[in-house]
Amino acid sequence: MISGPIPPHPRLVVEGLLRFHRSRKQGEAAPPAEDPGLPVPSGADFLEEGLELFEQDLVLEEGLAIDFFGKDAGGAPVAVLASEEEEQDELPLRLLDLDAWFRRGRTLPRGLLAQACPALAKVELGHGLRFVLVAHSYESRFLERLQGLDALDLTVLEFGRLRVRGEGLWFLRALPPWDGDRDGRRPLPEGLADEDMRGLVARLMDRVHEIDPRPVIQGDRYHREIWLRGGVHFRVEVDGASVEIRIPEKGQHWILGDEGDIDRILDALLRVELEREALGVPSRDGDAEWESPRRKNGSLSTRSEDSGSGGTLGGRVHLSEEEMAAFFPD
Amino acid sequence: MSLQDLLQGRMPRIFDRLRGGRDPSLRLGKGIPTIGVASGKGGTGKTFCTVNLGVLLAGERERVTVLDADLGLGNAHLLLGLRPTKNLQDFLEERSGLRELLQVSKYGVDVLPGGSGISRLCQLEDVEMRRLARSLSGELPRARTLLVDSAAGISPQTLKFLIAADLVLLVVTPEVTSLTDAYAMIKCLHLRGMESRIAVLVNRADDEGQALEAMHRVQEVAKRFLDLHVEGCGWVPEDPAVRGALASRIPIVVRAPHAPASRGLRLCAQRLEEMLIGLPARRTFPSRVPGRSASAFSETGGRGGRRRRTR
Repeated sequence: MISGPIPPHPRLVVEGLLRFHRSRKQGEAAPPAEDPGLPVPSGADFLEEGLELFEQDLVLEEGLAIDFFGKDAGGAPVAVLASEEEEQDELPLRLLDLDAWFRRGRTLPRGLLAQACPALAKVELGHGLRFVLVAHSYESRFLERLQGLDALDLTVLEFGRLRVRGEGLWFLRALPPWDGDRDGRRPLPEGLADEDMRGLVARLMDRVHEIDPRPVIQGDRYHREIWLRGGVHFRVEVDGASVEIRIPEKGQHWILGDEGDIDRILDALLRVELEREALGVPSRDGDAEWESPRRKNGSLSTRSEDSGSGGTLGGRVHLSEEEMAAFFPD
Repeated sequence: MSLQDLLQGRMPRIFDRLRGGRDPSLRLGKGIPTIGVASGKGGTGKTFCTVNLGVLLAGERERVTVLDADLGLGNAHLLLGLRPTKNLQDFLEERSGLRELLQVSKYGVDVLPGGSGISRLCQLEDVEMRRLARSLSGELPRARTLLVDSAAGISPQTLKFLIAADLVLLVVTPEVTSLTDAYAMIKCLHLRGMESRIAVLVNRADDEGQALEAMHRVQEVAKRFLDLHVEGCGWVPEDPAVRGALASRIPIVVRAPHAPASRGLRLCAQRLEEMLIGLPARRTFPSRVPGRSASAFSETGGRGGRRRRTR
């Protein structure tokens, strides 16, 4: 029998990534992945923009533990739970128990909670607990059970591993329908609560869809990365009730305030596109190495493509794994 | 038969095909050849190649028309130093006829500007497409070849334009993402039942080996999975002279005719000429392309000068 390498427990991978993330931020050499003694660093942007983790192995009561605890960019408490497939049978029950514990905790005096558990004083318990699940893979049965837990605020992430220039790298991807992009055109970050601002961002995206009816959208609860026509890239960042739009390539940014800002942003995006086209700038050069393996995995169809199902023009065409593999002979 | 007759006979059928996609009964008899220039992803230099190939294909008396079908973000006129005051938006809003829109350059290429920066034009309604088709058939001035510079990506509108063409020229760069997107485009056209010929031009290649490898990759995958023959149109090397030509708004084949990119483009145009001869609509006017019979892969001087045949 031939078997592949056994991946480490997701908890260890998260720890390793956290350490790597911290050392990279501080300009240090990355510590060895097997080093167990380092504390959890604060930043966990690789899991979600603005996520801060400040407690590891937080035990709330007997049998009720959180692998990594912290808060998201909006201050809501976040429980990161890492699991192997064989541990996933009991995970839904654990999620419900944790949710119930936090619902009870909301009613307790804040000082009392802080005394019992200092980590809880750093979060806004009124926001309710969010769960970020991390695993190498999930059983379909487990995912079906998760879909039944629609009262919980879930983000489900899956590890992947790819080799770039001979070096192995971990990457994370959110699984639908928890990927913030259920229909491929979901531009509004879930973390944006202000209704007026949601309307403004929605109008901006309506206009953006006129440039590219099928933009590539990625992101998490508080931000969106959006690529238009395979090249022009901009970000939508939520900070409380305000929204910032950035075009990294040009170093431009706007705090979205009114319809006039939408016109200015559209104008800037069109200018970037025209400039790229006129100069023949290849699109998304820097992403080529990660994008292609994702496609190779069959997880991403090619952009703005068409269905082969006949009928009206429009839709998408999927390349099979064999077709994609033919472009990667090595 | 006059050129105008040819146009009048041919253009309605081209744009009938725009309306509904494939229609075998609309295979063209006589008229002008239409080349749809496309790319799977943006930034491959599609417009740059379109404009320069147009200059090379234009004859002494016959002109090439570039229809800037990148509606909403068209910029072919920029590369020819033209400053249109009107664009297709004026036509669509019935403020102008097509003839008034036509921008005549001094390089033998005329441009129907697509309307830069007008996002509404990215999604033309079918009724607007039909009106455009009707007007093109009636108002397009004398042209030897129609080059349709389509938008990057695979939008329904782009597909409509490409399906209407006699020949689809896919401009790719050697990056694997460009190749996979180009293949996706080919597959999409194939699934639509498009029967026109498809050719690939590799732009911005470091050398001939890299260009050949990229082209063969697309050809092999198309043959293997779609049983489709994709032709090679040649390659254009990465060339610093391109940037200067773009900045000056003069086609590089005019501004720097001996630059490596210009040499590559000439060979590509020559290959294109050969392909056009095979089209039913092709007539044999003299062009500015030297009548050599060399392969488009044999004389282009890449920056590195390395010339090897990998297969």
